[in-house]
Formats: sequence, C-alpha cells, structure tokens
Amino acid sequence: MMAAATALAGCSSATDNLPDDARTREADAQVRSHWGKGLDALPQETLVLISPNNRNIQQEFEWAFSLDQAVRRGRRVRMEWRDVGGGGSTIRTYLTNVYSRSDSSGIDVLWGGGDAGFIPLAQAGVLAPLDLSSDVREQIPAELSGTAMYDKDRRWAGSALSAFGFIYNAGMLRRCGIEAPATWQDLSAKPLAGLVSLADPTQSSSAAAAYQMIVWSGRDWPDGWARLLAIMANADRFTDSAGTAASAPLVGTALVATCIDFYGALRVAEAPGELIYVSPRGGTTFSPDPIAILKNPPHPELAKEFVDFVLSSRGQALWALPVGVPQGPSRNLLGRMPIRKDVYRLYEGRLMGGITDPFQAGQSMTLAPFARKVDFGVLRQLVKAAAVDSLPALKAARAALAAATPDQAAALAADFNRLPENIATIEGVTAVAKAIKDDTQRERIVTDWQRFFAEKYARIARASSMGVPPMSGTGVSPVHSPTAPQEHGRDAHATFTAGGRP
Amino acid sequence: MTKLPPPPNLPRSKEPLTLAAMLSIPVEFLIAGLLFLLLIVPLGMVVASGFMHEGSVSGYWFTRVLGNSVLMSQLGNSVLLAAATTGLCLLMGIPLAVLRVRCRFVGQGLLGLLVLAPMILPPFVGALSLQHLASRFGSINLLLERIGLLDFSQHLPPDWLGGGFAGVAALQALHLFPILYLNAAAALANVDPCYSQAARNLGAGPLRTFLRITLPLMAPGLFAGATLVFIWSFTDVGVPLMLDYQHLVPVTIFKELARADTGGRTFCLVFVMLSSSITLYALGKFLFGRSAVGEASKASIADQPRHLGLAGTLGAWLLMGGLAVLALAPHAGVVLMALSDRWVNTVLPTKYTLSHMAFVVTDPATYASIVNSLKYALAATGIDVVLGIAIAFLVVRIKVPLRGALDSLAMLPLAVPGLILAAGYVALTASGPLKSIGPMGNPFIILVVAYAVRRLPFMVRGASAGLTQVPPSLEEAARNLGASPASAAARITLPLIAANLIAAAVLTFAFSVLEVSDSLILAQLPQHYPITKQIFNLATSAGSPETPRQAAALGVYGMAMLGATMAAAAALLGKRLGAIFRA
Repeated sequence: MMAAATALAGCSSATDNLPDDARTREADAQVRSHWGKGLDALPQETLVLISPNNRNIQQEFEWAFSLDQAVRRGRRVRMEWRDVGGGGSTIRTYLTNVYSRSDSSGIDVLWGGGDAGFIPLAQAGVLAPLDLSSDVREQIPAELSGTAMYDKDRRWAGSALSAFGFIYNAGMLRRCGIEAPATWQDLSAKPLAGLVSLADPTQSSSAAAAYQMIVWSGRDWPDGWARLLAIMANADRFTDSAGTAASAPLVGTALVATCIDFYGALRVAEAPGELIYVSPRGGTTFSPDPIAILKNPPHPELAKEFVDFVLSSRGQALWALPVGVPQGPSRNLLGRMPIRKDVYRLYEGRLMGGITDPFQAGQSMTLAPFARKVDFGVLRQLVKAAAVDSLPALKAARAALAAATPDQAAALAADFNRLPENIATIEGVTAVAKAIKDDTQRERIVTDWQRFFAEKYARIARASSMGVPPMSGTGVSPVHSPTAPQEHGRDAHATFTAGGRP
Repeated sequence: MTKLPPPPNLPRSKEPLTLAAMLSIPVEFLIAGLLFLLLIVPLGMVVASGFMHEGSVSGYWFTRVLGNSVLMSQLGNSVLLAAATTGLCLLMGIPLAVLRVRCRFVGQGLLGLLVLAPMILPPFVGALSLQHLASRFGSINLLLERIGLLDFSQHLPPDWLGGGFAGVAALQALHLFPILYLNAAAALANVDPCYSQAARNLGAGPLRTFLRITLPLMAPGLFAGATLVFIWSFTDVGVPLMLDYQHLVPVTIFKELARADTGGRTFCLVFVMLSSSITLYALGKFLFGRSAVGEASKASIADQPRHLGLAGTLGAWLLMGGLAVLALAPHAGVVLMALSDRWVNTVLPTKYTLSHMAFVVTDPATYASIVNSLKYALAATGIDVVLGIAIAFLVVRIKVPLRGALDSLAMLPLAVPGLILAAGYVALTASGPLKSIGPMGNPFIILVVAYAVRRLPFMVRGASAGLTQVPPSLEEAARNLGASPASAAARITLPLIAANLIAAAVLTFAFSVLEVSDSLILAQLPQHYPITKQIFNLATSAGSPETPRQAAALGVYGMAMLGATMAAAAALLGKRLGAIFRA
C-alpha cells in the first residue's frame, strides 16, 4: 500500500512517503475495480514540468491528475518538477537560453507565474500551440474586461485567475467599533490610521500590483495617486514580504492588509468569520495565470492530457474547494480562483470563503484610458520614495492634515497630494519610465523624490502646527532646495481633506 | 597594580623571548596572510566597487551616499538602535554580574543558568512570536482587555513594539545581555577586593564604592562586552527584517545586495557602514577601554560573597527571575506558535497541532537544513579554536613583533557586518575556478570560512582574556623548574584557560548555528540551506499562513539542539561550568 501511495504521488519527497491509508486505499480500490490490478502494477509514464507554483499546488494537482490517469487510462504518471533555482523570471531566462541553443528543453509543461511572463515566451516561439476543446473555449472567455484569458494564437491558456483586494480582521474591527471597509477608498478612512499593513512594492510585485489597482480606480493619474497616498498614510508599516503583510490581521500587528486574492483566501480559511477577504467590486482586474506546452515536448500526449485536466471543471475545482470534500484537494487548501465560468455554478455554495465569482457583472474593473500608461516600475519607486522611506513623516503630515483648521485644509491637502513635477502628468510618467531603466538616473530621480516628499511632509506638519496655510498655492516651498524637482501646482484634490476621510 | 618581579633565578633575559618570538614570526605571517585573504581581500573587492563609477575610479557614489538624507537618517538611526540595545544590556548585565560574583543566595545556580538561556534562541525567531505577543492586537493587550484594564472600543490598544524600534532594541538586548553579563562578571571577579575594601574603610558607602572604584576597574571588561553588543546590534539584519523595521542601513544594504544588479551605491554604503563601525569602535576604546586591567594580575584573593537574607534573596529572585521570564517569553511564544493550529484574536491558541513539528523532520529541505547547520558550525568552531589559541599566544604571551596589527586583524570581523563579508565571498566566487564553491554551487567552504572568520574574535577574546588573567609568573615558575616553553604552555597555561576556551568555543558554535546574514546570502540552493536560512525562508514565504509556524517549529528544534550543546558542555566540565561563566 505504501508503494502504491508513493507510486501515485510520484515519489518526489519524504512527505509523499508518509502513510495516508485512507487516501491510498481508496485510490488503489478504484484502480483495481477498473483494471483488475493495483496501482503498483500499472505501466509508468513521465511528465516533466517547470513551475513557480508552490509545493501545495504541485502536490494537489499531481495527486489528482495521477489518480485520474490511473483510473481512466490505466497508467501511472510520474511527475518530475524541474527546479532551476528560482521563480518566474529565472524560469523565463532559463527557457529563453535553452531554446536559443536547442529545439527542445526536455520539459513538457510550463505552468504559472502570471501572463506577463508567457507573452514574451509566446512571441519568442518557445511555446507550442494548444488544442483547446470547444468545452474549454465555451467556459473560458477570450477576454475579461479587456484582459486576454488565453493567447489569440493558443500558445498559452489561463489556468486560474488572480485578483487583488484586502483582508481584514472583522472580529477585532467590531471590538474597536470601526466600520469594516468595502472599497479601496475605505482603507484611507481616519479610524484605520496606523492599522493598515502594506508591503514594500520594490520587494513584492504582488503588493505593487495591488497598488496599481488602487491607482487605476482613480479618475486620472493624479487622482489615482492621491487615493493611494491616502491609504499609505494609514500604514502601520511596510513589510518586505507580501505574505507577512497579509498575515498582519491574523497575527494582530494590523487590522487590514492589501493582498493578492489567494493570500487572503488562505488566511480566511484559518478563521472564517473573524477574517474576511474582499476583492472590491469593480476595483480589481482579473488576470490569468497561464499554462502552456513547451516547444517539442518529450511527452506531448501526456502534456496535452495534463493541460486538459487542469482546464477541466474537475481540475479547476481543486483551486477553490475546501480540503477533504469530494473533488476537492486532499491535503492542502489552494484558495485560488477558477478560470472556468461553470465551476462557480457547479460548486455554488461549496467554494471556500474569499473566492469571488469574477464573471459576475460589475465585478471586474473597467480600465480608464490612462491606466495602461501608469508604469509599474515608476509606481514602485514612487511608493518607496513617498511612503516606504518616509513613513513617520508621511504619518505626521497626515495627522497635521486631520488637525488643520478649515481655512488651511484645502491648501494643505493640495500640497499633500501634489506629485513631483517630472511625473505630474501621465506623459511625464512614461518619460521617467524610460529614464529609470538606467541605474545612475534612477538613483538621482528617486533621491530627488525622497527629498521632495520629505520637505513637503515637514512643511505640512509645520504649517499645520503654526496655523497658517503652507504656500497659498504657488507651488513653491519656502524651504525648497534648488536641486529638488519643481512642484506641480494643481487644484486641491478632494481625496485628502482636513477630515481625513474622503 | 604592581607587576610581579621576575623570578630571581631566571631573569627575563632577552634571548629566549626573542628566540620564541622569532620562531613564531612565520606562524604569525601565515595566520595574518590567511586572515588577509579571507577578510581583507573580499572586503577590498566589495569596497573598491563602491568607488567605481562608469568604468573609472570615482568618488561619485560616496558623495551621493553622504548627500542622501534617507540613508544618513538610517545611519543615525542604526547608531541610536545600537546605543539603545547596549544601554539596555548594561542595565541588565551589571546588576546580574554583581549578584553573581558578590552575593550568595538560595537558587542562585538555577537562576544563573536561566538568565543565560536567551543566548540559545535565534532572536529573529523570537521576533515571530513577539508580534503575536506584543503587537497592538497581540496576546498582552488581549489579556489586559480581558481583565478589564483596556477597552478597545474606547481607545486603540498600545503597540508595545513601539513601531518596531523598541521591539528590535528589546529583542536584541534580551538576546545579547548574557554576553555583557558574562563579561561584567568576569571583570568583577578579577577586580582585587582590596581596593573596594580600602574605599569602604575610608568611609565610602557601598554604592559610592561601586560607582567610583569597582565600576571603573571593570571598564575594560565592560567595554569588551559592550563592543560585541554594540557592533552586533549596529550590523544586525535578522531581527529588524523579521519585525519589518526597515529604517536601518544594514537592512537597506541587505535588500540591495539581494538584487541581481547590485550597484556601486550599495558597495559605497557598505564602505560608510564599515568606516562608521571602525570609528565607533576606536572612539569607544579611546574613551573606555584604556584602563590598566590588561596588565593587572588576577585578583590574588576573592572577595567574600555576601549571603543575602530573605529580603535580599527575594529581590534577587525578582530581578533575575523577572529578567529570565521576560527574556524567555518570546521563546515560549515560539513554542506556542510551533504548536498552534489556530491563533486569531485570542490570548493563547485555540487549536493545537503537532503537524508543524512533524513537518520539520519530514520535509526533506527543512530536515537537511539541521544537518547542514551542524556540519557548518562544527567545522567553523574547530577552525576558530586552533586560530584563536594561536593568535592569543602570539599576541599576549610570545609578544611577537607587529602583534598589535595581528590583534586588530583578528578583531576586525567585529566591525564587519556578516552580509558584507558574505557579499565579498560572493564576489570572490562569482567566476573562475572558485565558482563551484560559491553560493550557486556547494557553499560548504565559504559558509564555514564566513562563520569562522566572523566568530574568530570570540575565540581570540576568550583565549586572550584567559591568558591575560593567568600571570606569566606561573609559566615562568614551570620553566624555572625545567619545563620547555611548549610544555609549560600545554601543562600550565592551557589548563588554566580551559574554561575560557570552552566558553568561547560553545559561544562560537552557538553563534555559528544562529548566524543569519552570511547564511541568507551564501546559501542559495535549498539543499545547502542552514537552519537560519530555512527559518527565514519559511517565515517570510508568502503563500500559506502556516509557514511562519513551521519556521517556529524549526526554531524549537534549534533551541533544543543548542540547549543540548550547553548541557553537554556542562557535563564535560562538571563543577567547573560556573568557571566558564565567571571567566
């Protein structure tokens, strides 16, 4: 029986060798009823995969797919997960290098890491076309709010969806008498000052993506930035790891945290009711996490079987069902959003908490024209300069805004929301995006931003304590350094008012 | 302090000394060359990169770093943190040392061991549980709410971590105060009681005597301990990273080093950090480290310890016990975390599991990290024992020419952050024949070397302190009776300093197992991860909320292992264990 268990699970680690009698007995019985022999006696085939997906995902899909193949096809599948010593970008570099020298990588399937990594690989001709069944094409739309769910040339297909939102400690918010947030802007509410956990976007790309959603939710770039800055002013601290930030409401260091959907769902599963995850309605895009077959795979037939399995309703259910329920994962919650529409109907009421149906009308964000021009790299560096590097000053300025007299408030808020001149317009952002690719230029630009924000926050704190408006809308600070970027004067924005809450 | 006169039958003729010193010069050069290769060359490579800009030698990055207000503010904050941690350690260490050396009370042995226990916990694992315990909605505040002292609906509860700074300083101090305690106790034990007795005879009160006589005489010992604590805190990345306290230069350096495209600015920042460490060390030595204790003989008579009465005993228990409880609380929290299955909004976990403890021994990567750490730390300790004794003899006893330079070279690692040294080894092994022993190959050699180099000062300090305290006259007496220099050293001096050596070796081993920064940089492939890297990896791994508890479980195994090390040392030394800690 042990041998059967290890045979089915691919024998890839000591964890898989642990006795799991119920699971193994059941699998063995199923195989015997179909083929008249045990798992050990089935012929073995190998599938080679490369994936930045975590071990839990690998193990659950490995078990479910192997069982499916043993029962339906009468073969034992050994899944070999190639490790090239890194995540998505390392794998991409590796594959590009290998295919520049050879026609095959000896790997069948590439899975996970976000669509941004698959698009250049598809263009480079590293991916083989997929033969997607009509059922798959019917259940997975070609686009969701303008984002492709599979490649137009079928080089890759989305295997799950990712969205962004926030997790909060509902129980503790109740005890503190604070209203639970429902939208991005609620995170900038005054009662949440110092209670929001955020991650450093230069350390975590999923944190940066969440901030991008918040900016995209604005009317234009300055408005989007003002919304984000207001939320960051509520930060307790900036963590390095997005997972640590998402765990803050669970551990007790903060009550709210922005995060990618499945970090939220996995934590909610720990204390349903106490913890709640929200992808704000209309406040996030849903992006695909693709799967693809690599060019000249060593095992093309098995690779196609695996892709079909992952995209089937049975495979998709593994993402979102609780552990132990029929067709759910056997050991570990995965907490991700299925990409098939029918899964949300077929398993309605049974999916774990925190999983939202992205196909509901109004759920997905409709992008404003400026959104695609908000450069990811610029946003990361800007958040670092404006908040991560100067959080105490940012909080002091926020407190000063909240305490400002009505005649000061508008001018102070305008100053607070003002962007450095070189990125005051979306066109400026595009220009800076090119410049920061150079190390020396990036260092200069970011240092100037740091100085710009430090001076501004100090000015606001000072002006508020002295009871005078900071600069009467001239856009020039009395302590302005000659080397600092000139400020961009614009009208007072409503995102931050003297009352704090938008 | 009077020096003992030379033995009459064996006047200190120049010949034998010169001969010994001359014979030792090749050994000195060999050791110095080794240290130069393993310490100066990698650092030189790193620092030189800081003065390169666009392909030529330039001070560009230096002016950019000095002109950067955020970095300078981080530097100031790092100094402040180190000062706070050192101050806390002195506050805790000195009273404990007085109790240890000058007082006797019931339960002293047990309490003395208890206050040493915090050394065995990697403080950055403590940080994991500290957040559960002391954060705004952590166990302490939930308990205070339950007993009615706090009402969350009226006021937000306080953040005992003080936004991170207080948490980092407290955690570092609770981990490091035993170092100061040991040094203070050793220094106090070596203060000749005749001075304080004289002061008391002249009418000074006990406090005045302590402050005016004893404390100044202890200063060099305290300085030695305070230096270790200060530089450790100044260059620590583990605790701040785990508590997400970012506003420190080491954290910035660490994060920039983790990028694939580390640039000149990072290396220049390293240079600034190094210069600051060395300047602060020199300043401290100038201010506090110049007393004549190094030339003093070991106290010829021990001060008669005072037997405490009931009130005194209770006070001592309260102080030592309270400190031990405070220091052990994060450790207990780590155990709770490791066993918890659900711990949300409650003082204690509401559901327990053994699955995280099982994970450590069943997950191949995690189990392998334990085996790796043992291998690395044992090898590093072996190297340090040999080098440490050799350097101490050369400097203190044989008094070779240029011994000051050798001593400084051996002490230099104190001023070198582990991650910077690690960056040097990465640079050394980036290409060429050494690539296979680099982080992407099998980093056994560079990890062992990094651990050994970084902990060498512990061993040299331990051995030198022992040698300083053992009067040369004992060795000279042996030689007077016909023993050769080697025989006198082996049969007289080494046994006399054995307690120092074993204490230093145990510390070296413990700190090697707990080494964070070298481990994070130099072990890049999971099969070579040491315990600390695996703990860090699990604790900060993004996906599942379970992984920090698995990290805590590995921390529990680590504590058990180091506890066993200490127990083994105790068994080995028997009654002389106390001597280690007084040494």
